[in-house]
Amino acid sequence: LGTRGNNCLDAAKACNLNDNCKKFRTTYVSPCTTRISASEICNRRKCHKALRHFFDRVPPKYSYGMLFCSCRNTACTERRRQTIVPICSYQEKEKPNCLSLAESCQTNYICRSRLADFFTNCQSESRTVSGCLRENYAGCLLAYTGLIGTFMTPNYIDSQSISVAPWCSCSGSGNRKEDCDELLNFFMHNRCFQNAVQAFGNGTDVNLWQHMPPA
Amino acid sequence: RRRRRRNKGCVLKEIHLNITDLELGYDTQEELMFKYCSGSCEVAETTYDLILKNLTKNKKLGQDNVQPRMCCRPTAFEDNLSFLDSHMAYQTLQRYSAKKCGCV
Repeated sequence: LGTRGNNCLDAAKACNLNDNCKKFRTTYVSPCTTRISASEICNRRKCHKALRHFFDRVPPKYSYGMLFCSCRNTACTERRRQTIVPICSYQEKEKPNCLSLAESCQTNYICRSRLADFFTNCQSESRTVSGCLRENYAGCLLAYTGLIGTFMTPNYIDSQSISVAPWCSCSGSGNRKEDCDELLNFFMHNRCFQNAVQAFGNGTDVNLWQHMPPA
Repeated sequence: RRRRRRNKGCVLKEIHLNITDLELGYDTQEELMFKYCSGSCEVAETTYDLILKNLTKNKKLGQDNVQPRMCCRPTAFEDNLSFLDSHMAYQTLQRYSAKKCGCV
């Protein structure tokens, strides 16, 4: 990785030179960037569905390459943040409370199971070498990408770090403030997940990737 | 099949380019494979082509600007292509690259 290198750009180039990745990338970018009326910038439901197809059907080599690329400048981190077309798939006018968002998630079977996978596979544990309770970075990244295209769609929250969160806040939590903070911190300050992203970006987790089933 | 054998000069080729090489006004560093149709269509494929060829040869059509020969052109286009430009906006190209070629 050179100082002027942009791994996220390199990953985008690799995607468009691969017929399968190119096809599924376009298949989500189109609904996620097509305005449907004066008030709605896109069809969020279609955008989410196409994003789920992209992460379900494109090999991690390409999809993770764009989502978990390692960066040294903002041109790179901003590109990484734009991978999921956040203006459609992520941001909304208002930020709901994280606990309410999780409750909505529980009403949908895809969201409910994928959120449970994320909590299981990205559980931090300070006494392990990996920082994960289940020492399996691939499992954690797979669980994270599984959330993209659900109510709990997460994204990078700034261009400085690899801190992620769903589009929600803990204001208005009342007497459940601690529960809410715990939920949000599982995303924002998750050592297991952050180590997994770093290992993928640095290519230092080669052994684990070889054991991944082909997508 | 007959068409392909007689006009085997018309083929699909591909070239690896920067999207800026297309000069469509996009500011991006992303790249693509551009596929295009290349080659000639020498043999008259249809009776229409044969008639036009004969009429132009015998100067029966006066000054009319007719194309008496088939052209090697895309008969199908590639799937759309999306990319992120330098202003962090997504762009999508449609009917931008050939998928199949034929003498038409």
